[in-house]
Amino acid sequence: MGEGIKLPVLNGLGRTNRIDNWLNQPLAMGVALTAAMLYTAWRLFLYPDSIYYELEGSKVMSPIFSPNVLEWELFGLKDWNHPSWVNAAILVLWIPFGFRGTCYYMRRVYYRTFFASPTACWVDEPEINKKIGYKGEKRIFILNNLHRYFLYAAMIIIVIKWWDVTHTLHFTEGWGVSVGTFVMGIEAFLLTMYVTSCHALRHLAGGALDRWTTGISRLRGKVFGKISVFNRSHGFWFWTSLGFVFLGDLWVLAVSEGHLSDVALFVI
Amino acid sequence: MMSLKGKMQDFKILRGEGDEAGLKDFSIELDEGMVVLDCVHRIQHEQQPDMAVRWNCKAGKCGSCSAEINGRPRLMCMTRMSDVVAETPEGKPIEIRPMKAFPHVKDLVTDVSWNYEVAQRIKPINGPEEMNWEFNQMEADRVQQFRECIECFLCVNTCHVLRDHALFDDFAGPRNLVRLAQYEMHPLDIEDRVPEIKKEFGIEYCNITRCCTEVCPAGIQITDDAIIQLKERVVDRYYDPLQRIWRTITRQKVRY
Repeated sequence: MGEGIKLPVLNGLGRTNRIDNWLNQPLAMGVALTAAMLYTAWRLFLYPDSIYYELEGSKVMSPIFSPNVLEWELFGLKDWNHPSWVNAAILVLWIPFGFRGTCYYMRRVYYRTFFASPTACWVDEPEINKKIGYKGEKRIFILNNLHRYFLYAAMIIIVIKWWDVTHTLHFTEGWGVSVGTFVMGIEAFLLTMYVTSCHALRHLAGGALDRWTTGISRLRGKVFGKISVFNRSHGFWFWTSLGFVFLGDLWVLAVSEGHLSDVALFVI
Repeated sequence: MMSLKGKMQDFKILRGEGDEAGLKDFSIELDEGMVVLDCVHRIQHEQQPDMAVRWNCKAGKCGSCSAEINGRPRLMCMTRMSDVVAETPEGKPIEIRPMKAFPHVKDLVTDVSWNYEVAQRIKPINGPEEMNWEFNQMEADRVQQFRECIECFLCVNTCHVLRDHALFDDFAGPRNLVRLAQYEMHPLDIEDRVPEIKKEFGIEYCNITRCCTEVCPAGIQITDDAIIQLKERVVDRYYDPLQRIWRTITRQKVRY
């Protein structure tokens, strides 16, 4: 470090020379994430009912409880005499939780909102952060390096999600589309975009290489280029896909409890 | 938009050195089309001939005139007064301070030599002996972005690892991580810098809060394209058991 002394600086939580409304964004994001977690907890542990509805033979699942692994013949899950508190979401949600929790975009959000590390750029951190000693993504946050493994699992979930969408198309009288198809379809699309724009996928697809000259490596370079385009809006896909999980769940809840009713838009 | 011509504008600018340094009040008449650096020059010309300020190209290409304007680090030559006047509450002065993360020299000048010292520790590109280097456009585009860096060090000044936690001995800072990405991803380079990126240059200290990208006047995607890409290479090497097994089976020797 060069000679000279540091300027007197503003120290302490939220001390800054900024004059704009820097608190708005982290506050809004913190409230949104907290609401999402509380709602999920309520749905998982306190009210795991009305998780799907049937319409003329088609079946629309709530996004939170899709895929409903407890209906699977695989591993004998269907016949499993499970404890009453176990439901499909409890068995599966650790995957999207892990994927989102280790996501490079999500990390920006929660370091800012929940850890004030820092709350916003050029805003000082609370004294306790400095007392504990900053270690970045070491200590507990070293687990964020597992992101690619959650990615593999999330990719499997996405395929099953699309499979669940096809269940909304199959009516007793033939193939058709209902509002539920759009609810599940849009949710599956947004999640697919969120996973496709992932930083780890981008790296594994082609970013790990320095040369994209011949054959497979050239193809991987092209895939890297395509993913990079979606990757720019990773945050957008994060929030829209997250929001739609809850919108979709509210829709399924409302229909299956008779507050709203779904209709088959057309059947062929 | 309101015309700025003839408007009297108040400023608070950090003056002095050492313990004497403090904000001083100035007032000047504005002209149309001014940038912040023009105002600093006008104050220097009309009132304070000994005020120290670094500047050079006045075109956002030399990276000399970094400062914190209203608490937000920016290049003074690329910051329009129309924008700054609009963001400052009516009747309040515009505040200009030097970069906070670096040792202060005088007035708006700081000592950024630490960045050059770190840069010297990075292994340069090691490519083929014969200088007929050829690679395709796709490969070139990827590293070309990193060459846009003008070394204004606004990203380093912004990074909370250095700004708030002062980990200058353990962390290379965003600018030099961009340099590492530029070398490491070069299509013809054969040098391996991954162990240094993890240990010596401390990439794990970065918690991707993306302030460096937010502040970059050259528009480099520092976080997404440089730091996260390097972090993923560190994961490949140190934190991915499947890749480790694969390397053992295929007898690939790498440094740890």
